[in-house]
Amino acid sequence: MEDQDMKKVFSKSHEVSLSPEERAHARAAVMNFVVKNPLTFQPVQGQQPRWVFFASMLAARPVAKYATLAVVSLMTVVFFGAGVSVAANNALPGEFLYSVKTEFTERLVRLAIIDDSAKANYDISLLQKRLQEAEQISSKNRLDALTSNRVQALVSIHIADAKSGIRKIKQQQGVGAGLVQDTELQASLNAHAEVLGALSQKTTPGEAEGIKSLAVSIDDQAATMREEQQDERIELFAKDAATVRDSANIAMQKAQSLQVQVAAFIESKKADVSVSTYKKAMTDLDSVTIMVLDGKAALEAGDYNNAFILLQNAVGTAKQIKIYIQNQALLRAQLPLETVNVIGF
Amino acid sequence: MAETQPIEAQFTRAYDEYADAIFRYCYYRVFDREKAKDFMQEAYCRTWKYISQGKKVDNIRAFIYRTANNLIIDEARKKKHISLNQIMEKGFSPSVDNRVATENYFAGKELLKVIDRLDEKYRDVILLKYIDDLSTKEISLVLNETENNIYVRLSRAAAQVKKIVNHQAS
Repeated sequence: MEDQDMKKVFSKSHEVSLSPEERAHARAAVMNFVVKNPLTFQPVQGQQPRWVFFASMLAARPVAKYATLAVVSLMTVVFFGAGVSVAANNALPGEFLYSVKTEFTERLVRLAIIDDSAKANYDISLLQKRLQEAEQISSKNRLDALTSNRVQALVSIHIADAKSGIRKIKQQQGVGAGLVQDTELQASLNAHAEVLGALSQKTTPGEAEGIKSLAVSIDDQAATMREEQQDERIELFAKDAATVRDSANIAMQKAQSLQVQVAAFIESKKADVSVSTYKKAMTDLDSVTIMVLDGKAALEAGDYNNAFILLQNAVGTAKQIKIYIQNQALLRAQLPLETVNVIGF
Repeated sequence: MAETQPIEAQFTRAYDEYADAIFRYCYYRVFDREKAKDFMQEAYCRTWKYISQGKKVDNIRAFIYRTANNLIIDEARKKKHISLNQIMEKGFSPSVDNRVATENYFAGKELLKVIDRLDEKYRDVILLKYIDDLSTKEISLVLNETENNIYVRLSRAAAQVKKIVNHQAS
């Protein structure tokens, strides 16, 4: 019997398939298993030039980032002594050593990063750090107008630096390459705008102005980013189908990876956040799953524009979940109980 | 699993790409939709368990098939094989799509009969080759045999399929 005849005999066999509901249900069960059984080893990175790997680790991997910061701090020790270095790394806005951290240590680390992608990641991580610090001191009623202005200035610098880095990546490697950082920056601003909005509801005399002005500033920056993202999408969709498809594929890989990571993260922080936030996170994670599934279906159907939008939104939502969970866990550990009740944390 | 993207992402992609095919492979082995879904799900979970312990998997597709195959063999050892006649009596549901035309329905039944009448040793290779589109090398990895053995078995399986089809036609 010829191969073609055999294929004809078995051609009907492909009609047996999972329904979309069955596939999604089984997928959720398998992913749940993955989350509950995390890797018990440290995966080996792919073949990359050593310096690129080192630089990428700076912003992408917290452990490595802190290791690098430790090295740079060691250099600081030469100038300022060990005590100053350690204290500077833990300094918050308004404190004397805060400038040592922002003007010296962090700038030195930034200078050491050569890879554009790693540099953009580092700038985004600095932005997040600034906003977390602001949220921390606000929880201690120490974010006055002057400190708020200082934070806003630093935030503007980090956003400008990150945007400049992302632009470079897009010019050198195409639109899709800068997508992840772009979406991460947008997600950071959205998530922090939400947290700052909640924090600004508490109006302690002398501090209300500082937190409100920072919340408004971040909200404006997030709105500007949203508009820019719309323009970039229009620009991307004007390009050829292959470019849009490649960008959608990058977004899908990132979205799928984040989906698993964020699910594990939510579970790990379950005890540290409020019940309502946990429920919100689970609902948002469901939305991410649906967007990924729909995005994948659109990609397979050749509807690349729609696939890109869905998957980019999935990446953004997943990032936002991670940020608001992280922030709430941090702030709940520091906020007085009455404040927790007032702002719904 | 040697790419640069995170292992979790590679595994998720492996689910999205092969889940349907693994399900189909299980279905044509056990002729039971629910069991086939369970086998497929369990095969993925066991594969992840293996990977999460840091053990190396060169060809994840072949590995999942092999895991599913082992699960089915284990199950068959535990329980007596259900005949196709019993399946037909219970109601045959090869597809979830209710719009499948009548002729397809009968074609599906005939196909099941062909598969059911094949010798066990030929059924595996036929399912993997013509239903799941695996290469001979991948089949050899799944069944843990040499490529030459697989070639021979495929050739003999094709002869048996011909015999069954001709018999059914007459």
